[in-house]
Order: sequence, then structure tokens, then C-alpha cells
Amino acid sequence: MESLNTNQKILAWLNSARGISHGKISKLLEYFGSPKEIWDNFQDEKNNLPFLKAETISYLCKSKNHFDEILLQRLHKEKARIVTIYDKEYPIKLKQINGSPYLLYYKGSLENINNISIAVVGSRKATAYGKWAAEKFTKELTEMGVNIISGLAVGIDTVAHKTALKFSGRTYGIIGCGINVVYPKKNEELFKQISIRGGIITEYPFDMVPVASNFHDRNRIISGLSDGVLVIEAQERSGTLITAGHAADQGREIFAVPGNIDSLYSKGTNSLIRDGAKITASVTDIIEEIHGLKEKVKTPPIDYSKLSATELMIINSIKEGRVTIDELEQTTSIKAGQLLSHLTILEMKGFISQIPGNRFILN
Amino acid sequence: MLSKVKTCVLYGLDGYEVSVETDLSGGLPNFSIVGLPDISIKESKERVRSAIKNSNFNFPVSRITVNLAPANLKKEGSQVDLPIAVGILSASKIIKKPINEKTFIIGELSLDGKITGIEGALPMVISMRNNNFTKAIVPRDNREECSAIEGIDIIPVESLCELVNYLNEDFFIEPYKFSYNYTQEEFSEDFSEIKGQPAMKRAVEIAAAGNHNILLLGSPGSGKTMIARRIPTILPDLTFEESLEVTKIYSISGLLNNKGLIYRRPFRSPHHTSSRTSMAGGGTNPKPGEVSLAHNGVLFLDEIPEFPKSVLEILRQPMEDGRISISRARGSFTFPAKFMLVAAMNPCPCGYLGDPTHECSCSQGQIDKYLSKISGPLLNRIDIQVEVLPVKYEDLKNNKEEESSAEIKKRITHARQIQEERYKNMGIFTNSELPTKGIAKYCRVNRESELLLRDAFEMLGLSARAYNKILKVARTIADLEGCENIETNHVAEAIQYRSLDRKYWR
Repeated sequence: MESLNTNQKILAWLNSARGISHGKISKLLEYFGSPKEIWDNFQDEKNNLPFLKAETISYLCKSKNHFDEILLQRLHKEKARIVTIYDKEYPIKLKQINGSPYLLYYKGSLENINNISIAVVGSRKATAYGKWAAEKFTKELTEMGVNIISGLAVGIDTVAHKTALKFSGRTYGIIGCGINVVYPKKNEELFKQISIRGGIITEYPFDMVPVASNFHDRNRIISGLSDGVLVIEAQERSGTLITAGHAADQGREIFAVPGNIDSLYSKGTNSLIRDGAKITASVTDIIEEIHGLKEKVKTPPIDYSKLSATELMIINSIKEGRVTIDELEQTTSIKAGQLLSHLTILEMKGFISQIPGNRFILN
Repeated sequence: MLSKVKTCVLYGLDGYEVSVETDLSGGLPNFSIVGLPDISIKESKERVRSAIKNSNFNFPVSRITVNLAPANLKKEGSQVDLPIAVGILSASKIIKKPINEKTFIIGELSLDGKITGIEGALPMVISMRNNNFTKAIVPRDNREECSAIEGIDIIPVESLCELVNYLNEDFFIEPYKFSYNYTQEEFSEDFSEIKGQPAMKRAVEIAAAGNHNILLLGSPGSGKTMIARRIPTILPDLTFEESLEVTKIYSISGLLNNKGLIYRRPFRSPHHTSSRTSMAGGGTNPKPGEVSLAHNGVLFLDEIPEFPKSVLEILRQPMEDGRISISRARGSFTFPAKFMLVAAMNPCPCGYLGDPTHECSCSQGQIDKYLSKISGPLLNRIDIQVEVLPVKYEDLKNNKEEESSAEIKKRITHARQIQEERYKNMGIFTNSELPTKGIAKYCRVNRESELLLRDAFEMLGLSARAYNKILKVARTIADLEGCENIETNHVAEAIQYRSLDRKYWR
């Protein structure tokens, strides 16, 4: 069993108490000076801490002695680890933000967390367009070796993580609950995979349930760990926009994928663009803004030259915005059966994709 | 003063020979029926007494005992009225000639002596013919359906009086001869009424050609129901044997309405509030359910996720075996149930997922829950799943000539002939019935298609169960074109018919 260093032990001890938030730890550190001093002098000073509730103080006093043994056991069982802001493994980018968490619990490895990272975030209720965009950008970023950071929620987050894993990229999931809590439940397998191919990170103690307010704070870590935040789809007043807000405060680049002005799910992204986010129609928009990404680009331009005349006709039709099979049948005058078979082959060759509603789009 | 008349009772779709023995003896006048009769037969006492009187015959004033043999078999049905009446008249020598042993009598009596039609006449006649009976005396109302059977004389009778005269040979009734007119009944719907929707029509044509079950997925008002209703119009004509099977089922369900054989493929569309019994068949005296009424035709389930899971699970056995076995206290009954399943559903509870013009208001959880209602074994038996697109205004306005049902039917009939020829030694008729072994033999694909399929699995995230379905459907597409080998373009098209297997839906 690995042992904990002093700071880890002390901060985890504080963090495990109900009623101790990030802000309370800041106040304690301000009062005492350092974690070590909190530990040494807590008993003596416990009556001079008006910002802590009585039950919090009594819990801390009670748990102080046998705390680290239990914690170590749990960490071992969950294969999780702890890193504090005083450790050298602590993510450099996260250190630079306002309100960096003092302590992180994580599964997996933080070895590569300082590489170029982009947060891919978006609505939990994603549209087909959103999922497609998330997949496209994640794939292209992953191929350049960029870390994909997201929040492990359903919708865009899940697509981003899955795509990163699919193309053997590194991806980190920042969660708003204890490291041992899997939420949402259906992502259990994804949790496992991510902790192998990257990491799951949280600032919350064991057993913390995913309450709404946690996600708000969690979002500052998502943007804090990233060089830029790519917002795929967001409704107005959504958590996604909160992440974007944190990103702006932290001086991170904000990329927003434009959407139809009549789509609920693009209201947020479109207003981000209005407020100065970088409009992102292709991955080059991201490359231009992120320092050090340009060198990593491998460009295979789309080569239509090997397609047959019929296939080109279909591609051109789709380019013109004829996207459903019925529309394509009308413009190209190819019989439905043959058309479908051409479309499959084009999809297999990677030129087009199908989305719900029997619609086709160019890759 | 003993007489013996033969009649028939039904168990499921099979008729059993029953002897009606009547004995008149001295003593206090009394009329009793023994031999496990059910209520409808016990009540026949009253009908028989009145009918005999009102036909101006004397009802014997003596002790009448009617025995239905074999005595251990439970008997039911009003068709026993007429043989009991004939038995009494024969025992009291009003009918002078003994009744031929190879003649059987079925019919219900009305109080005035008229003979009314019964349910299940056709299966009775078929069973009795197989028991070497040569003459059937049936109600006039049932003559059309019964006359389709060869090898047995059908004597239609209208009243008890007429029958007595016939049996006394005072009066001759010509056996009713079958006039088999194979003219397909006109459908009131036609495919040409569907504007646009070429992709959907194509999918339905393939489904009909290979008798594949099909799932139509689309937002409200996209025309799913409209298309489904027209599927019977493009299915090949019923063969004589199929027609008999269908008529038998409708006969015992009392749905024939005095018509003769049914020439039109059935189309059943039970509502999603249907109970398990109405779907599978059942009751104390089991009657066929919707799955059997759709035999040799189309079973259309609109809004399939709204059906209770327990009702949908019933479909599994029929879809596998083409029949359904119902076990009740009285015994086990098997009804044929070979149908083409056409199911329709919305892509999500609100119906607008993927719709370009409407907002979908469902959460991913709701969508998952909705789709999961038809997952697993049932989905496994549906070869084709396609999305239906909403009809566009231009298409509605368009006066372009659309293909008629007759033209499509011609192609489908041709494709079916090819399949029948190919599978004639296997005991199956269509590609959809092809077992795994047969797929390896008849659905071989070339190297190129093999690669395409492999790519499709990786890129589209198709599930493993899709593999065989794609091959079967590709086989049907090839048959429609009259190709002996499955070509790459056939496989490529077939891949498009697995909408629900695509990752977006999972």
C-alpha cells in the first residue's frame, strides 16, 4: 500500500468532512498558514473558527486519529490516488486558475495531463447534429494527440469520451461526485475505459453524491485543465455555458460550433459566438488559436478523384443540401435501390455519414 | 326404435366424428341428452322440440334418450341440433330410410324449422372428408365455403322439412358444386396513391418479396399506416391451399359472413390495448387470435412500443414456427400463424427525434426506454428496419404517375417463384425462413462484399445479429433483380435496411 504524504493526508482529512468546501479550506489555510499547522493546532484553536459549524469541528476532531488508515484502504480498493496542489504531479494548468482545488482524487494517470488539452462540452440532450460535430472534432483533435477533457455526462460528453477512446486518444473525465460513485450509471463501462486510457478526476471525497451544485464547481476544473474549451451545443442558461464562463475567466480559448438559429440547442453556442467566442467550423479554427498545435497537424485532404461519375453526382447533390434519400432520388434520378447501395459504399469509403431521419451529410 | 346419425364437433381446427344415437322407449315422456354435452347442446332440446313441431311433424310422446358417442369426449356447438332432430325423426320412423353411414349432418335449428348457418363448417367438412365420409349435409348458408372441398358431396339444406323429404328420397337435392373463380377481389387501396417516398416503397417491396418482417420508423404523419395498409395489395395471390387455411380459421371464428373461400390476404391491425388472449387466441373453447387471423397475410402493429411487453412476447413462437400452441384445461390446440409482421413506431416518445423541422422534447433516458421496449428477441426477428420520412408538400401536389400495386406485385410474384424453386426441397418458401445453414449455402457473397460487410460492422457499429439479416435481405434484392449471385450492390443496399442497428439509436 502506498502511503500518503503529510499534505495529502491533511487535505483529504479536511475534505472528507461534510460542510468543508473549497472556500472553507482556503479560510483555514489563511488562518493557520499551512496544512501542517492546521493539523497540529486544530484542537487548540477549534473555538476560534466561527466559519465552521460545530458538527464539522467535532467530526474533524473525532476522525483525526484513525482517518488515514481508512482512507488508504479505500484508495487501494478503488485503485484511486490523491494529488495535492503541493505535489509536483499536480496539473500545471490547473494551478494557474483562481480557486484551484487543493486536492484531487483520481483514477488512471496524470502523467500526460499537461499536454495540449481541449475540453469538449455540450448539452446532455444532444441532437444528432451535435453528436456528429462532437464526434468529428474529437476525432480530428485526437488524431493530433490532443487530450480530450469532458464531464462524463450523457450526451455530448459521452460522445466525446467514446470517440477519443475509439481513436486511441487520451481522455480525462471530470466528475461532480466521489471517485467511487458512477454517475450516470449507464456509463460504467466508459468509466473503466477512461481510467485505463486517461483518467477520472474529482475534487470530491468518497461517497459524495452528484448534487447539482457540485457540477457548477466541477466545470471550473474542466476548463482549468484545458487549453481551450470547445462548446458543441448548449441551451441558454445551461451548465455548458457555465463552463464557458469559467474558461473566459481563466483566460482559456473558447470555441463554439455554430448551429441553426432556430435550434434550442444552438442558442447557447450562437450567443457565445456573439460574445466573442471563436466560431468553429473546422478543426483549423482550433489549430490557429492553440499554441503548438499547428506542428501536429497531419492533413489528408479529401480526395474525390477516385469516385465514379454517379458517386460524384451524389456527393454534389449532398453538397447542395439535398440530404434525404427522397430528395437525392429526385435530383439524381437514380432508382432508390441503387441509390441506397451507392450511399452505403460512399459511407464505407468515409465520404459521407448518415444521421437519424435518413439524412446524409458530407464528412 | 333406435337410430344413429353421424355428426362432427371441433377441437381447435380439427373435427372429430360423433355418433348421435337416439332411442325411443316406453315410460313417462322425457327427453335427455347424455355424452358430455355443453350448455349449447343441452339447450338444443328446446330448439329441436319446437322445430319438429313447427315443421308439422309429430314429436314422439315417449322416453327419448340421445347419446353422443364417444361418451368421453366433451362436445360443444349448435351444429348438433340438426343431427339430434334427424335422429328423433328417424327413430320415430318419420324418416323411413336408414341414414347412410358415410353421411354426416351439421346445422343449427331455428324454432320455425329453418336451418341456420354455423361456425367452423369448413374445417368440419375437411376433417370428415379425411375420415372417408362421402356426403355432408350442411346449412345452405355454409355451402359456399364447404363446396371448395373435393371428394365429398355437399348437400345444402334450408329447412328441416326439406331435409326429411330428401332423406326419404321424395325430393332430390343436387350436390352443390364448387365454382372456383380465382378473380382476386378488388382492393380499395392502391400503391399509386402514395406520392413520393421512393425509398420507403422500395423497402416495402423487398420485404414483401422475401416475406421479411419490417419495422417502419418515422415521425407522426409520415405515412407509416398508409403504406402498411397497402402491403396486402402487392403480396402474391393466395394459392388454393393457403386460401383454404385462411378460410378455415375465419370459419371457426365466425367471420366468414356467408362468403365462400377467402381469396384476399388478410390484413389484421389489432390496437395496442389488445389483450394477450386476443392476440394469441384462447378462451374456454379456444378460438384463434389475431396472430392466426393474420395467417398468410399481414399483421400490422401500429405504435408497437405501446403494446405491453407480454403481448409482444407472444409473437415470438409464431414468428419462429408459423403456428401457435394454446394450452388450456380442456387440452392443447394448435392454430396456424404464419404472417408477415409490419410494425410501425415513432423514433422517440414525442415522435420528432431526427426531424429537421420539429424539436424533440425527449431526454436520452426516455428515448432509451422507449426503444428498449422492442429490443432483443423480437427485434431479432425483424429483418428490415427503415426510417420513413415525412412527405413533402411538393410530392403531395405532384401529379407524377406513381407505380400501381399491380406492377409491383408482378415483380414480387416473380421473385417469390425464384425462391420457391430454390427451396423446394427444404420445406420453406421464402428467404425470410432461411435457417442459418441455408444462409451459408444460398447467400454466398463475393470477396468485395465480404470486405464491405466488415467495414460496415466497424464503421456503422452494426450488431452481430444484423449479419445474417443483411445476407437474407441481400438475397431477396438479388432475387428481385433475377440475379443468381448476390452482388456487392445488393449487400450495400441491404445494409441500409438496418436503421435501428446504427449507433445513433443506441
